[in-house]
Amino acid sequence: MQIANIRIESTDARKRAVGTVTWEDCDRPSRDVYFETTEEFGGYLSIDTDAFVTAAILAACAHGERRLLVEGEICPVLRDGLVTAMSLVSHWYHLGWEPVVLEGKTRSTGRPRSSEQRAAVFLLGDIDSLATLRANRLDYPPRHPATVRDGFLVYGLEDQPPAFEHLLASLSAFARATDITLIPVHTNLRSLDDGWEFWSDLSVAPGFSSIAHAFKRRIGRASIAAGYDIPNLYPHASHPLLDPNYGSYDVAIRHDGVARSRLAKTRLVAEWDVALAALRVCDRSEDYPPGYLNCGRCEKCLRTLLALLALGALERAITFPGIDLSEEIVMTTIRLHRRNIHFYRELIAPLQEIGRNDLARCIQRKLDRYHAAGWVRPFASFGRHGVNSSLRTIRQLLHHDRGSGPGCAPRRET
Amino acid sequence: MKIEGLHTTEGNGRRRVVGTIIWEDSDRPAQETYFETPIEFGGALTTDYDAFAVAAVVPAFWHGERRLAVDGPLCPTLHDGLRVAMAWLREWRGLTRPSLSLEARPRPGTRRAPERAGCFLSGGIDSLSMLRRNRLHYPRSHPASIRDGIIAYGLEVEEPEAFAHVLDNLRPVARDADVTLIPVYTNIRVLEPSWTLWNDVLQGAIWAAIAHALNRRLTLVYLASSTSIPYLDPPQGTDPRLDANYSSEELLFRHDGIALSRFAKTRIVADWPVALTHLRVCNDVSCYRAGQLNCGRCEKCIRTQLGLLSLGALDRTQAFQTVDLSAPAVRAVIFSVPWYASYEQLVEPLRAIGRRDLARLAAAQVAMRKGRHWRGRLGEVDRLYLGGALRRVKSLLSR
Repeated sequence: MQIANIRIESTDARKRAVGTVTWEDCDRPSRDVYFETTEEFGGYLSIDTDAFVTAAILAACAHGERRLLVEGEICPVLRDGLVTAMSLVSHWYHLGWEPVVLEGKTRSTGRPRSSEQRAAVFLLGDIDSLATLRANRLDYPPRHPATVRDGFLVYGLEDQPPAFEHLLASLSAFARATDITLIPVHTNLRSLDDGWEFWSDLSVAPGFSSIAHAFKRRIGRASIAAGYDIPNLYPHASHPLLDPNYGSYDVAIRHDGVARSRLAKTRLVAEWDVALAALRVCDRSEDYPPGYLNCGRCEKCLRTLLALLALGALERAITFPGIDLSEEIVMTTIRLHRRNIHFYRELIAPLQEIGRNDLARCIQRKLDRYHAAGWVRPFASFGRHGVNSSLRTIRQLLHHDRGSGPGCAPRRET
Repeated sequence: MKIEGLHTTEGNGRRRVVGTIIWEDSDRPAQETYFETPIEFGGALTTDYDAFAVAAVVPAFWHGERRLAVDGPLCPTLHDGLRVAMAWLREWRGLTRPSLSLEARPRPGTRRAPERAGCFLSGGIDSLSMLRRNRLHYPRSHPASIRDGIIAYGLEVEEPEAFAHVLDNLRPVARDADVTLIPVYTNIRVLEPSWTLWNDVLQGAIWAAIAHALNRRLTLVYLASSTSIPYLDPPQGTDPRLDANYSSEELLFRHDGIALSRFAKTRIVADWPVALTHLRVCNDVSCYRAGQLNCGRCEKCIRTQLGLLSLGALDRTQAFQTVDLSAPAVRAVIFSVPWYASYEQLVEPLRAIGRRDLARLAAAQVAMRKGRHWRGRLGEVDRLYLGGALRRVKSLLSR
């Protein structure tokens, strides 16, 4: 893979940093990858390689590229980090990758830390990012350089257009109220591999990190809000062991909030009215009733509503349509799996404390049923991994004619 | 626990920063702890409490103190990180007690020294390979290029004469790599002298505390990883998930090198002649003699010799007092330890140089120890998912 011709382009009151990505060892079309923002923030876009290398590295690895050659200088800290990140991902998912060789001149300078560089958070309007911001507001003095002053609102990674417009409107008001500068960013970095699993399993942290690097003329550190707390962590595209490796000397990447459970984070949001008024946890924007930011019926909405109920904040959750939280809706809506059971386990005691024993019992029944069926799961999991492993082996054999060098890592099954 | 009375003193050609640790909930006496350097590096010594908070937080948490009250401002980034570090330790060690409350007012701004990087330099495979990689991959003008090597007295080396040997041994390496050697003397381990806790929960925090003690000179300090990605679990007292949390706005503490196996690191050292000559892997301080700091007989010495042998580098160094890699000698040593990671990496290289006898021993160690590891995991699955059914079947069959 090669990344070249990194430049700034202006279009329709917007500016974008663009780099041309050309594949060398696989049959994919070359394309321009960009990071775009409004005129107001366009002056902060960087034409350094960091953003593009970070965005492209795992795609290069996954598609068997032998090297990533960049036209420009590479930060040595970022280069080290990316090698570690590739090794971690390969180990976690049993991919057998050899790290892609990063070719390019090593940058000989680094920017000293100063209070001029701002701290940013990726604002999704969800519990995790709002809680990260709230914790930062509570723990850091106002003028401290690590106090978050910017929020990235990104289009092109996860949200479909209607949701983005909803989000932009609600978060703009939130940003005004909390003295956060909202930086809208459009990017097509997912065009390097638009598979959903590639994004959700591998690319979340490098994707967000690349945006922070694109704004390195303004940003010195960026926080990615943790989705899971320490007892419930699992190898994932954003993880405390992984995310800092996508940082450079100039821009540090933090995986923030890993010591707080989801209930603790919900409490932080519930105690902050302005955040509660902007809360959006739901990914099903097509189901939002008019005037709301959440459908109120999906598992994630229900989980959040139960937590807000337990915390006495349900009446103030104005971004959700009114829902009667009954045993029936809990029984019919909640589907437990190994990645969400802990969210419910921690709700039982608080629901009992507010006298909603009906809901607590209902959740307990769900948990009991889940655990009763537990003996099947290790075998099912073994079966899945066994099958995937066999597929990978077959794929490796099929690709064997490409040699056995570092570039011949098999693609991940996605 | 309270930390108070921060002050500096000078004497005997050294400057010392002192903090008093007062235990509140456990029956331990107040302790004066210090970090000390030769006077020429005295300007590097901290004037804040960060170093003492990092050093004290794990012993305080481990021994059930309800709070850690610091009599001065603390970096809010460090404050946040210490909470996360405790959350990791609670999870890893199965502690059920709540996190201790960290009571310190946040430092309103930063007082960062000019950018300068250092590393801990023990003279072993991990730290030498880290320094070498830094030299090879970082331009000297880059602020992450290592300029200082820190060597600590009072942690793993506690004999003045032995420490003098260690320092003398490192000087040629430091000259070759163009780093300034900074000896740091500390009694910080009085807070928790147990070697078990040192290995299991404490090590990273104590190294980080020493780094913070030098935060008037250094803004980035590397600690070489002693493990690699496939072997991160079970976690130890120094771990990338843990150590990163000991950073502040003034000092970034970096756990470096998990992407490389010990064998890969040994290769880097073997390709650096001055490092190969002055390698120090042995922890048996009583054997230290001028110019020779490796007994050659302990497990760590044997393991390193096997790596160097595989790389064709063993006959290029006189760093070991004894070299006996006969199968009986190796067998007698390596089967006495519970770890297997380094031996797993040595099986193929030993086979490749024709030492099938040693490759078999390495493979046997892996099979024996990894097998236990695997059986442990199966037991866990049995307990969690099968209600102990496998254990019951096994006991029935063995009747």
